[in-house]
Amino acid sequence: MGLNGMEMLSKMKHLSEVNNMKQVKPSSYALFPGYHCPLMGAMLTIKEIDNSVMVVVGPDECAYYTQLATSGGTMKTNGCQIVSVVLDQHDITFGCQEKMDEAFEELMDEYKPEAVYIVTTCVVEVTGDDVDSMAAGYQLKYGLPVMVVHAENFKTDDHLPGIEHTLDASINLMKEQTVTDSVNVLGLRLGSFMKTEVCRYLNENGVKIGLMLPGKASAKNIEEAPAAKCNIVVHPVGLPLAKAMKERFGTPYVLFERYSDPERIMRCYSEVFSILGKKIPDVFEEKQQEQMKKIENIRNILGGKTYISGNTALCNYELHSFLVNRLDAKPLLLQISDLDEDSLEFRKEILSKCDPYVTRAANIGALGYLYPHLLPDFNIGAGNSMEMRKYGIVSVRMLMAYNTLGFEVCDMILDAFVKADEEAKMSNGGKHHGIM
Amino acid sequence: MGLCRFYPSPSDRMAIIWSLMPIKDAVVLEYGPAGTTHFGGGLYSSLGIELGKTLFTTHISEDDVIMGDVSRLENAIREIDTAYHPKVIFVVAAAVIAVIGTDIAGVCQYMQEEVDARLISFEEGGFRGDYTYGLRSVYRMLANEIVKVSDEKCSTYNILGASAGSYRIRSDVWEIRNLMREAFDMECGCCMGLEGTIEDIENIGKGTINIVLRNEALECANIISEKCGVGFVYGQPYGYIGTLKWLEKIAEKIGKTINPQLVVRLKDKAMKIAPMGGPMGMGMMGHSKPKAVIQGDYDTLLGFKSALNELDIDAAQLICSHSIKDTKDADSSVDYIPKEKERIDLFKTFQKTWCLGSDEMERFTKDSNYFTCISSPFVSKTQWATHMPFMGEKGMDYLIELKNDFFSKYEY
Repeated sequence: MGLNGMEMLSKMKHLSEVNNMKQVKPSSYALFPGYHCPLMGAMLTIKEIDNSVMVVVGPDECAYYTQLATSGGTMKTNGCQIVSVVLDQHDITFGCQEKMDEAFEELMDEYKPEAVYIVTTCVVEVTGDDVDSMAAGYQLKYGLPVMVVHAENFKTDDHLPGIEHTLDASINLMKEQTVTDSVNVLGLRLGSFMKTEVCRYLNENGVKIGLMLPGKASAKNIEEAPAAKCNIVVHPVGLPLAKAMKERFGTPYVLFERYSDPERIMRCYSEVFSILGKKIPDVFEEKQQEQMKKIENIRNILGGKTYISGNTALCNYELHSFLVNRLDAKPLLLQISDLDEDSLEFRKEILSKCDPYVTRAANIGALGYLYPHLLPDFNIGAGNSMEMRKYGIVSVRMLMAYNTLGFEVCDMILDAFVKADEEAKMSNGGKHHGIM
Repeated sequence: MGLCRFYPSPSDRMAIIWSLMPIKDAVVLEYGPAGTTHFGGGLYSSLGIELGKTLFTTHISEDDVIMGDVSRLENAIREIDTAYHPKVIFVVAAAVIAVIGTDIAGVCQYMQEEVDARLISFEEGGFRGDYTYGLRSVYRMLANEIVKVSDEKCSTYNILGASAGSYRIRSDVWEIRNLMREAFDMECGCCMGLEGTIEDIENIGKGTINIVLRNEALECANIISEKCGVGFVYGQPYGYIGTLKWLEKIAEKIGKTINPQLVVRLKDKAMKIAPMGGPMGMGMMGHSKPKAVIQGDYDTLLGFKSALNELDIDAAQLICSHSIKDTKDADSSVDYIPKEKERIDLFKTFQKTWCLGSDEMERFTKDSNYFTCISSPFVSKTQWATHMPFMGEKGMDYLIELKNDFFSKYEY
């Protein structure tokens, strides 16, 4: 009983056959757990902003789940008050303005926030309530920044637009500043930039870290963000804000994602230090050389090994390009959630050596049915661990990925693969026995 | 009441899903955005519900919303039917689907010809009422559509109205099973909407009696009574005396006597905790009478009120967590305060009170009170044990310990 893995593969496209996400089919029509929604992305970002209020506008279910998700653990609210305007049939039919007005008055009275983010959900976006106009009215009436984050789920397959739109909206908080010797970090979805190698090297060279968004921030931090000499964009969700800041305040930016390839990392460092007007530390050159040697050694171990991959905390296509071109590893299946122009070069680099299957991400339930047919050596990202063990597939665990940036990313990947390879030898004595 | 500061009341749709997911050999398919399902998984697993192969989503795109394209739903139904062979696929509309008015009942009707699984749709979308509306809707549907008429009879009983959304419900069901076994040597056939298979629900009509735990299952019990001739007893066993009375109602209905040892034990325990009462009561001893307030589902409120009564504690206020407009002949002591602000303001007034309620009550009452979690939302609490009930003999044993703790804290 279950899905037919062979049939799934027969319908699945290869990377070379797709150039937009509509062409990429999910591995099954019935999904579980399914994608996160942009409301989640907005929540993850806003919950860290001190003295802010996040207002979820939607049915009771969206309000309930947002409270539930932020009630404890790592996603607990941290400085932000999350409230909601729960829509009923009357609001759906006659509009939600009246209820919104009442709610806004209450929240201003009770929380006295410095900034308010109104986050819409699917239902409001379908009924077409003009929440932007309402927000403009509240901003005028109450004299504080009121931003709208449009977070409908039916236009996207993941939660990233929620983060991106929150960042976009935050430019309304920013004001012209005198430029100082500091950098902002835009787009860090999870983890701490302060723990990264890049942060260490910047600090050692007298550069202060300004705004980190997403990250712990206050309305004032956001307002003062244009004081930075440079924006470091660590994930594409930060790009629209970086571009907008460049246009409005002239702040240059560098796209410095969690790249794997030492040469690319070196280029990013060079660009950042050049904008900052500082000499590039000699240690970077040494690090790059060290890592190139390490890559050579590890290629002898991993060359020819196969893997499948889900989403990771890294720059996904760049990671696969690195694994394919530097380590001679072979991806059999990639679970993807975008086919943006930005990744075109990386995809070409992958295709120069292999042509993996592609399917949509976040459908772990169905993935297990493909394992016996693909029989990869390794799995990267989320997977069905019970099923993987059954087929001798070993997970490449990059647990610290969220707290890495710079050359340490490359080190982490190489170490994780070596460890996984050792684990495979220990547990399987060879692979693909089909037994526990 | 524009602003919701904490948890809103769960919607009808949420209750529909948490009542259908526990049914083995059935699948819940949500037609709507995947984010709702992904988010919802967190809630359902916190209610102790298995997620694997019980819940799926189709996800939807702009095309589905704007053009009314239902091919995702059709394909998902076909796929689930072929891959997992469930007896029933429950297709549940998401809020946005309910708003755009997709005819999922119509889709299920024509898709029924193509698949082996029975297709049953729910189009509420979360806008028809709170979770009690959803519970009524599910229980009514199961009685009408799944329970079978049968000439064959067996000595089992069934439990109707045990909702996964109720705090410690699995422990309470465990206690009911113990009580029924000891009192009448009877076993449970089906605990509808919390455990069991489609076949178990089909066989409810063969049972001797249905035990109805909550008002929302009364209509279902009546349908089964008319359809299959299975009588029912409505109520929850709280307190020693309350449990005995509850057992007596069942005994009368099924024409059996209660195991005398159990009767003696319950009476003995009831005697031990009986207050001095009358002119020698606590008021006469210079103490103020201890006070409690209870927040929870309608039947939970009445159950706890009677248990506290046995402990000579005055349940000063019963605050219902849901609308009681559909509760026939609702007890006049039960209040429903729909405005969150008014509830919060009320909670803040309590002092030296035993507050039995939800996370909401705990959050907004002052530390000068004694809090016990008994109702939803209970996100900050875990439910690991399935043998720590509030109902029945063991539930009362536990309540006495809590009462003693409360008394010692406030020197009653």
